[in-house]
Amino acid sequence: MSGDDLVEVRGTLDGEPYHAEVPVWASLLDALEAAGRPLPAGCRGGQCGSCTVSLDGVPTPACVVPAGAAAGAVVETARRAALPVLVAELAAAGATQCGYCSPGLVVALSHLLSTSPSLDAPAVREALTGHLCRCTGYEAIVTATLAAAARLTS
Amino acid sequence: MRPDAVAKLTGEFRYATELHAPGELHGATVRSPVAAADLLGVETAEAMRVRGAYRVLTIADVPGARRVGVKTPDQPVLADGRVRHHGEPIAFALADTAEAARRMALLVRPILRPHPALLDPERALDADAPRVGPDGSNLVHRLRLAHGTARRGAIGVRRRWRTGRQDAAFLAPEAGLAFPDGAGGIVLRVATQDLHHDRAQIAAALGLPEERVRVELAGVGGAFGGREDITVHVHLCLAALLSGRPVRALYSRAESFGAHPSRHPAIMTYELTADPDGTFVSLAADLLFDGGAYASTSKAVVGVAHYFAAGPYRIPRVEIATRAVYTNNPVAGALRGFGATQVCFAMESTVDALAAELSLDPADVRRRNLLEPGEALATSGQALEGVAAPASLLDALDAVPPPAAAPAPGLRRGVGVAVGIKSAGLGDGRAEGAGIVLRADRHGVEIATAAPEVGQGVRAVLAQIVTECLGPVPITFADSTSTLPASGGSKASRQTMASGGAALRAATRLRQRLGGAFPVDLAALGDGTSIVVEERYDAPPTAAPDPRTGRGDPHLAFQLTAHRAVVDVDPALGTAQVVQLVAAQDVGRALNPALVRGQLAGGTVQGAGFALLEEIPVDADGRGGAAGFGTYLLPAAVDVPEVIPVIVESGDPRLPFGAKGVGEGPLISSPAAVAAALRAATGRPVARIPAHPEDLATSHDPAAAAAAAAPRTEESAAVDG
Repeated sequence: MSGDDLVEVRGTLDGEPYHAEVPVWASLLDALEAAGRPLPAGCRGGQCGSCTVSLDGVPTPACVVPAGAAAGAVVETARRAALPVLVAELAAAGATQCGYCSPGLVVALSHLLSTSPSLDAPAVREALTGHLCRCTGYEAIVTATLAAAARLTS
Repeated sequence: MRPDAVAKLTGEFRYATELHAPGELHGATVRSPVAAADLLGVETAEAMRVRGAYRVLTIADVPGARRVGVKTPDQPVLADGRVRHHGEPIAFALADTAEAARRMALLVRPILRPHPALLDPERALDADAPRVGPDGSNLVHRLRLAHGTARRGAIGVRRRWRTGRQDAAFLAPEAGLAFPDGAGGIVLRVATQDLHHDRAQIAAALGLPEERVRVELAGVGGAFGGREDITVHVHLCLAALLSGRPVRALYSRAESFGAHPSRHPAIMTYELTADPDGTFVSLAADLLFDGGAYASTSKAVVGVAHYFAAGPYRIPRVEIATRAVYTNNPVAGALRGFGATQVCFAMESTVDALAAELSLDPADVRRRNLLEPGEALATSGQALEGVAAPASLLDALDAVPPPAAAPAPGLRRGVGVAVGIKSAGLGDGRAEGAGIVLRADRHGVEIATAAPEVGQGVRAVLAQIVTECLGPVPITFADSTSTLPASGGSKASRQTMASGGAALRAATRLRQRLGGAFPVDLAALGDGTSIVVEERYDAPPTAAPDPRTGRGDPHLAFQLTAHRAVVDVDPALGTAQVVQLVAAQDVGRALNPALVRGQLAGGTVQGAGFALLEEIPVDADGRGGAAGFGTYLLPAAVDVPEVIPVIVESGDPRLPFGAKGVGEGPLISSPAAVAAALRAATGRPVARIPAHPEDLATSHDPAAAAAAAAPRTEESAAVDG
């Protein structure tokens, strides 16, 4: 098998079927780009979290998942995975600046809010492990996530 | 709310990293594997055998100016007979796929004859140092000033401080797409801080008139000064011009670290004397900034460092000598704080050392010596106008309660305070204006601005100013391009002042054109009728100081900040955990408090990163050692558990709305405050930032180890027991 061999990936992306043909070494991020759905990608090495998608329900950086391993998986980006109440709170709090980290954070925090109804600031910060934000200093992100949690439980 | 907020949060917003066009070529940069060498040739035959290879560009393909630069045109578009730093672009490989271009770049073989590299900035001006600068001199810029009588205080301290190579580390790597416009010109879509400045450099290198080059703003994933210099720009435009095809490029994370300038590493010697009551008498400071292989913005950076070297303090005698030098290290240039960050660390650390020498409380020593509004800065002599009393920022810090929880057993807690100052705006006699165009029709108002939205929120501020003048009309934005009136760029914390001023004027005139009522009645405009208003704002003039005396009024306005840091240190391991950061800044008037708080919190955390984590190490061969976010560490959410911004509003009457730029302030005194907290926790000198574990661990310091054996008041009861 040479580096030029291709692998065909089919799955579900934001509720629609998608298809991409990429080199065998390619990642899910590469496959989504090939399918015309690029994501912010700050490092392509699993260190910044900006390309995080929901992969069969689990927030995962798309850059570290081999494309072939994602065949048949249900992939959701922030477009579909974002909780509206979280987006509203983050927007109101000024929790996005350049925004490059935002869709990945939104996927991770939407999952957190869906699975952990009671949250405090340390838990939110812990959940942000693996997500780098260079602009905000995280403060507004944490505040807004707690506000969203309060709205969801009230 | 920001107009782009929801699109960014839901992944609809598009960035320069995602640009494509049908029929595109992909470019990959061939970079120097050595820091200093003659470039004898570039062998491309093997690279051209890669499937999909199109062409390899070298300096010989550049039709216009071979050298460009954001201030000084000393940087070859591609290496021109010589390489001056590791990673310098030598050639640009083009192919049908990105992967083929990367393979080509690995196979292009530069013929290099290495020679000894100059890596120690302290040797740069020695007679026998290798020559790096373009005219045979390694001096980029030198400034000197000396004021006051020669009296010295009874008590003095002399310290030598160093700061490291911090990177902008914006999350979106450099990327762009260039294509022919079909009429002999070129269009470039790129993430940048200054469309017009880019255009001038591109046009010069292509040998085209500026109107044949159009630069369009693509989505910017962070900037912080790191997008002031050109990177992909000329390479892409040249490739599109020569191939007649669209050409894109995207840097890797590792490549990005070396592709734009870093913060200047600085070596600063400070001698501060005082009377026994703590009143400052004299300051002598020697500042050496390592500019790396090309000038970039070094001259302006050391200008800021020089004129803010004494902080916002009253000092009867000051003597400052400042140099920026060329070396074969990676290029240094603009980064949020722009020279003021380094000297704030040095000055504030020296003030703490003096307070310790005098056995006085460091905050009291500061209060005794801080300037009052209207008093003259010790360096330039410019009056400190349009600001709150500097001491009031310390009051603002004091009003915030310290963290409630005691440190964990075994950890030692330290608290540090620092005060910082920098100009807002370019100053130094440079033009400080911006143009804007408003277009109103019955559906709303379109704002056309060349001020790049880099994440700071300039579009939110402009929309807010326009709706304050006109009433709640729907606002849209035209694409930002270099065909619009120049904005002067998103830099130097200036756009709220410059483009904000232009927006105020334009909206005021638009309201007059619409009959003067508030709110305006856009429905009165007929179908297909629109009103276009173009306006320009020019800030009050500044002037470069007299080069012989150093006296003058170079600053447009002032960013005044203070930080308090609480840090817990594990004395055995030398690891530090930030517990709380408080940032107080006089912003004049907070037009959009959420945006201002975001600037304060974000800049403060970048400063904590600089004090503790962030550094591109450069090895003995001049090679930068940041390969990714595993080796260049950014603060994560758990690293900065509590960041409290405190907005102080003392309007500057000379500026629109009284609002000063705010962007850089939070990164001026934050590192100094963290360093002070580290010293308070450990008793170690912490003479450099970022502080390394060996700078903090008692095991590396016998004196501190002995002191650590004795109980301390700030230590937790669990340890004392």
